[in-house]
Amino acid sequence: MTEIVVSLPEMVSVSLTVNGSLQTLSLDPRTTLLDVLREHLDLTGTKKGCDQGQCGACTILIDGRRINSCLTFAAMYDGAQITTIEGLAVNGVLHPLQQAFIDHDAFQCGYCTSGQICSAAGLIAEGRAKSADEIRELMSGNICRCGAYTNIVAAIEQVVGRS
Amino acid sequence: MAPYIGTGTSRIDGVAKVTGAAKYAAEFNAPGLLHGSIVTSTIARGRITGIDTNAAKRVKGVLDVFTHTNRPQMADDDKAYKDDVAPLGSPFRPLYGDKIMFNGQPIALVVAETSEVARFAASLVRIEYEKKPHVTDVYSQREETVPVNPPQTPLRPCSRHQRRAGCRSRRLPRQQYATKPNTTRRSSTTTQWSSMQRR
Amino acid sequence: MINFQYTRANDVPEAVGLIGRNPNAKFIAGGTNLIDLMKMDVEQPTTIVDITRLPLKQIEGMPAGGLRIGALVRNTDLAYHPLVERRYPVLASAIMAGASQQLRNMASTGGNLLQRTRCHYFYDAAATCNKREPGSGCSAIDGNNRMHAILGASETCIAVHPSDMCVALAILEAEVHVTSVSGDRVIAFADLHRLPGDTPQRDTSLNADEIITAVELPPQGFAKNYTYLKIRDRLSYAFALVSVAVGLELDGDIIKEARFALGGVAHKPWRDPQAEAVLRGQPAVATTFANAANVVLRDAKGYGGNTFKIDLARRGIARALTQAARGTPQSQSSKKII
Repeated sequence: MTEIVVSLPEMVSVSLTVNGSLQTLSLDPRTTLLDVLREHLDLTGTKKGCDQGQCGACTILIDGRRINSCLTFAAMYDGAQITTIEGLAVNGVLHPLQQAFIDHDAFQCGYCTSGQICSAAGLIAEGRAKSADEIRELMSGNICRCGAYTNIVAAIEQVVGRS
Repeated sequence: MAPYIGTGTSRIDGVAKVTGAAKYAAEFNAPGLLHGSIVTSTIARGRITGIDTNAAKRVKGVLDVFTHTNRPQMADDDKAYKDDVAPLGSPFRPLYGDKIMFNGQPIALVVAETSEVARFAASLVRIEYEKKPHVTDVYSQREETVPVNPPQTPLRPCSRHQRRAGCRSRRLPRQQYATKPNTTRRSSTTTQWSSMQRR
Repeated sequence: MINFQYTRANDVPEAVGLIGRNPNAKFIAGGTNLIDLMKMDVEQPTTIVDITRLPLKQIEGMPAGGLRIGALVRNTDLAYHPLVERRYPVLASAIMAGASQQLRNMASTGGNLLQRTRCHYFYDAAATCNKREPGSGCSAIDGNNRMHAILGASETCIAVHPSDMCVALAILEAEVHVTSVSGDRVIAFADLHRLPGDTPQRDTSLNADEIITAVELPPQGFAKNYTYLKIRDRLSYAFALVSVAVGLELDGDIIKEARFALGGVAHKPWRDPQAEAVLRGQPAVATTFANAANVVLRDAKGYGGNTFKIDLARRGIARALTQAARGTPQSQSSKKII
């Protein structure tokens, strides 16, 4: 059994560009990217649903790619460009996905919504989902307890159809 | 009011939810905010015979560890824990005493400056139990059950009229369903004490 | 999660040097399994060596026709690479059958090989588990074992290896290139993952001071007649109850070459040369496929909660062989099993 260390771990310096803004932080290395956003940068739009990579509510975009921010230490993405839900609208104008989610009533409680939208943005950038089946499959990493799935797919189809 | 009835209207909370601006329980900041991590029972039934919180308390950043032995004063009356539409019976009181009633029962709360420290310290709390046998098969306990609200009239088999109409059932079909625990949205609460609340 | 020291390695010698000196150090690449295990206090490394900057991210065609895959290539990049889609579509299909796109974007080739079982007793520190604590017992054998092994298990452990990608690599006969301070070696894919035996705490034959640098695929990719069929409790985003990877070469309707492996049923992807031999030289028809299934499952044993897997595997193998023979591989987006 390894000896448990009770003092604080050696902090690590991490620089992240979040929604265009450079942040440099001194962090407990155990801090996940999700907790950096929510607890250190007050960007609570990204949600903690399961904290174990099974629900997708923590989905964000790193260099345009969607990942689960709960299953990565912030230090591992030192230097990266991060986009969260708060960074999708530009100058107050909603991203087409955000508008589509409203148009199609693609949420109820809204807790999975940030993750759904960021994941869908990643899906569109990947350019692989053309049919409803493919959208459903490639969005399967985002779950919705309220069951808004049919409207979520419709919202994404609307934007995929346009791009 | 009249212009809204019958019209399709987008949810008024829509923009807040799709932009991440809508705030949920664990998303309110406050100066000096602390973090809690709950230690839960690993047996389903029995009693706590010992809790060792020394290692947890030694972790830098931990303020205290609450258990049933050092918790603040709690009310004795059921009414203090339930709302007006609660079902019959006594509601669960976390950290009230040493009795374990279910696997996963909260039995200690670590309070610390960061969530990483709180979670780590919680893993250092050592519990000793007196374990009692438990049963999780509801059907096997049928003889022990007591109806809370017995039906007014006993269930009857189909009348001749119903049978002619095709109703064949004299025994109700039984299906067993199992649902997995949900993973989204862990329970959370943010509490801020103000001087007004101490009465 | 315990305190740990976080360091980054800039090159492979530095990485193996750090691991070689410290038995409590672990590499991190994607982190999708390790961080999960650390949050549950199942893994407790005191030093984490971040290897994400190592130059192991290339996919290159080899002169003799094979493919070399760097250990840090992300699962999505591997599945979507034109050479993989064209020459090794069974690998692409298997990768896309697993996890979610977010996880596939994070997970590395090396990490996918080394991921640990998802047995819930392994994950639960309050349960006995010989893999986590040798000698403590196995809660799964008399417990909830729906997801557990029907082949190759032992009295100490009935866990399964959860990877889909590995089942495809098994039939492709990949080679795993590793290095340490003592030098390089190549591990045949079939020899990488172990059976539990008396030492379930050791998942693989990798030494503690070794790093996987690349996976190489021989030229034969079975691009014309293949399938990856995954049967699970829901349509997506769940581990396999039973999965089957198949690669065939046909001459008319006679099977010239046959490889198939099972996932979700053992501590490693399960290939049986005797079952494959039954297929060779035979017509690609239902009776041939049924024979092969019976051979591979002859020693299958259920533990109560997973006994259904034996017949499910029998039918899954027959269906997968049919799909491969017809040239109609299972689609991972259309869920209809053709």
